[in-house]
Amino acid sequence: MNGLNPNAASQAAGALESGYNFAYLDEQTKRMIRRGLLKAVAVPGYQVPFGGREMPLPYGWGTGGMQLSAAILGADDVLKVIDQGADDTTNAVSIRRFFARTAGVATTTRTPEATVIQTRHRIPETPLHGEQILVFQVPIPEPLRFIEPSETETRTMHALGDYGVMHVKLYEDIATFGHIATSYAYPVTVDERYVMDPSPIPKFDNPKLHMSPALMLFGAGREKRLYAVPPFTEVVSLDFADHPFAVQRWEENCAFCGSHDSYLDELIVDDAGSKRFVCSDTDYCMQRREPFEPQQEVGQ
Amino acid sequence: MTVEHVSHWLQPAFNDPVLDAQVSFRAALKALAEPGLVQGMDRALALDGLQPATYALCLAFLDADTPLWLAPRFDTAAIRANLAFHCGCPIVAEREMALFALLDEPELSDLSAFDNGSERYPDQSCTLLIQLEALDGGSLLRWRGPGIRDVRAVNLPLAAAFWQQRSARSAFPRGLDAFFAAGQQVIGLPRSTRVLFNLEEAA
Amino acid sequence: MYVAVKGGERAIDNAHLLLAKMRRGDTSIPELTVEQVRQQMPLAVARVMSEGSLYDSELAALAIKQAAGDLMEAIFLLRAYRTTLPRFGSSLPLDTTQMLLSRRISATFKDLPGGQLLGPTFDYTHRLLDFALLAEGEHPGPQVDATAQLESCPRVLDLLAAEGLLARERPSAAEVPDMTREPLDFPTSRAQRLQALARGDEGFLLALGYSTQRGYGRNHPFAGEIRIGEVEVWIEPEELGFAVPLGDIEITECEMVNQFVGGKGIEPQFTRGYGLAFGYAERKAMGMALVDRSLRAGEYAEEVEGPAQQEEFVLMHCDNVEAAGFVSHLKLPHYVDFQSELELIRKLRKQAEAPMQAAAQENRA
Repeated sequence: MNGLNPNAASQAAGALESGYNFAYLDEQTKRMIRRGLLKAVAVPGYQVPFGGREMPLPYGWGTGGMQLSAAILGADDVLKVIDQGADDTTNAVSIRRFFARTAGVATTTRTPEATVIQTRHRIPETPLHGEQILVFQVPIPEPLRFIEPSETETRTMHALGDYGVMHVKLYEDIATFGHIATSYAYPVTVDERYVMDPSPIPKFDNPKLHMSPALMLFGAGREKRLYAVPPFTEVVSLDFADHPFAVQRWEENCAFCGSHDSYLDELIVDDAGSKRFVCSDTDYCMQRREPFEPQQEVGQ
Repeated sequence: MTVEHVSHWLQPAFNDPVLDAQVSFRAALKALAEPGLVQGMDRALALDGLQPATYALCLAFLDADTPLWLAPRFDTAAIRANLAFHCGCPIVAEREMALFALLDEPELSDLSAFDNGSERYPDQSCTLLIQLEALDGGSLLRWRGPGIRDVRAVNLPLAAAFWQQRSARSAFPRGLDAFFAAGQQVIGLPRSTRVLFNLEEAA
Repeated sequence: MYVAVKGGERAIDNAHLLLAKMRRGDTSIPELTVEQVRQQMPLAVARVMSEGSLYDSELAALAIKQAAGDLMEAIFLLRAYRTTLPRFGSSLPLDTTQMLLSRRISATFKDLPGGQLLGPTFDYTHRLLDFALLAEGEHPGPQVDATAQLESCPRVLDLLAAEGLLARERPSAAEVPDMTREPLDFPTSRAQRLQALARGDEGFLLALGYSTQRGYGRNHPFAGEIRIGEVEVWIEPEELGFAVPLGDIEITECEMVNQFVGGKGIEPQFTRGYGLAFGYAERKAMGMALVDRSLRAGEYAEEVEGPAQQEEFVLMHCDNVEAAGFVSHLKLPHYVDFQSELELIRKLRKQAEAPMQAAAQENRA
């Protein structure tokens, strides 16, 4: 009966973009990813291998995140997509458009209104809530990869919980530079077991991973791995007693909203190299400015 | 079985195979991400001995890539025919081979043969789909771990044997993940959940 | 105030229009048809089908046209289409002894059963630009006997194997793995390796194969046989219980014979490297055969010393869709992480400067 039953080769009824499935992926692929997600949630921080598919966007441009989003999105979801914290960066626009076209989902730029947020390189400043899922795009899911290039070796290290090489590397940083010389993709320990790459978010965002009410899913398309941090899970940034983990701070405030607590992007505004600082999270910045000025149309 | 015999048993599956599967998956994902919290699972009808939530879990997750082990109670012509037709999942006689297992309460006193994964690939473990008469009424236990802010009190109607078996099969990251289904509801119990008996951590 | 990468939607739409304009070129020149690409660029079509993992010459030609001749982009287009197709099953192993050959050569024997057939090849062309092709107007097709074909004949390496001089390949009854559905897991099986190499970038395999010839994992190869032609594809649907032919495909098969002096309980014998590609794709098949053999180092207890012998290195980097994607993603904004790095470098500099200033003051004192 192979090939006849709906779960073997079913195609979406009523896909929006003619000729393609709802949210692009076929049902068999979605089921495979969904089963992987269950295991990822059950073993927090462990990288589940999955049969990553080619997406119509290049590897490295968020195909892992897109496959997870495609597997979880439903008709009632409201999707937000950010890149560098901004809704209006070109790749964020492109991915948001892709799902609006293939799944017909509602989209938003407002963090609190979104049910699914796909992100590259940031966690929103606005605290997330329990009805939200944050989907991270991950380039290199293996936190040990730059210390040990072989997958066979790193898998053994994870199996044994042997993270000595990572601690040695961080300690060498301290000995050489006086600091841990990692400012983004800063490794964390999840639920006291797996060392995990939180994706290339600045370490400023690491504390937001800890005991978050929202489910966090991570997808690496090219490397064909997915992993998860369930809500209310302990996530600890690696550090040493004499060199505790600390996040970036700026002396400046956001030039638009005046925020002193958010992650700031540095802009060079003239040929003399003068600098201004603005929030990387465009929605957060907009919400803070709203009482004072009307919201600008995104994408203009 | 001939084709005529199979078609005699066939019943409808999801109304909308795409959207109902998605809704059922999201409920299951939430159930596993927040262990012990009851989630609705109402997109399928009952099928023979399978209650709606149990059948919805099958339809959402099973296909040709997922060998399934059936407890004797669920090993009926109607269930076999519908799972074969709607999911196409191979039904296996050996528990060791199963990626999913459909169980009822009496089966829970022996979980020894189900695959609990390996240190290197803890994801390659069997997922238990356990149908119960209800999701409460048992002794009150306290669950802790990922997905639970502090402690969650859960009173699934389970014999002590299940907890002993689960504990025996747990060596994190190895372990068994379970969904408990009753009527149109489901509760998730991932291997990461630590269950406390009388203030004493047991699993 | 200058704000980076704003105005997403309109900018993207404009970029698409400009790309379409670039692809079309001067509109006073007739547009290239997909059929023209398919007919007159068969080698480009073959490469796109092989590395795109989809045997469909019309879609491959369409992809080449749409990609404005960028073959990697065309491969990517075909892959992205392929991934939306349902999988029905796997074919029976191709029987290449039953091929209808349009080209067949062996470098290891002067003559052999079935004979040699040069067929269409660039091999003995003098690489002189043919200015006749530059001239306007129609060129009458070449006058050759198009029926020059070889009937099916045995493979050269099978003849060596019959004499017991070639390491035997054991047929495997195991289920065929599908690397597009199950990610590679190391160490891989040979079936997985061959799949990955068949999809692998021709240039990458060529360079790696070349590196083995120059001594990085040297294993002297002979081109035992290269054959190009049409072969029938058969499937055996479970519900039928017997095999039925699906149709013919054109393939290139290359078998390299490699020296092996024996050792660790293995007698001196020849060993084999295998390459297979869709269409007329000799260079790809040869590169693949060289790399297949070098990746069998473990099997023959050879020391792994060259990059071409390291399976994880080769297989994780041979896919040009993956490689092109990850390299090109560097074009995406990275200013958040860059900001982190700026902050870190400034902090480290400040720290490095402080002791230096202290030292300078000490010197002055």
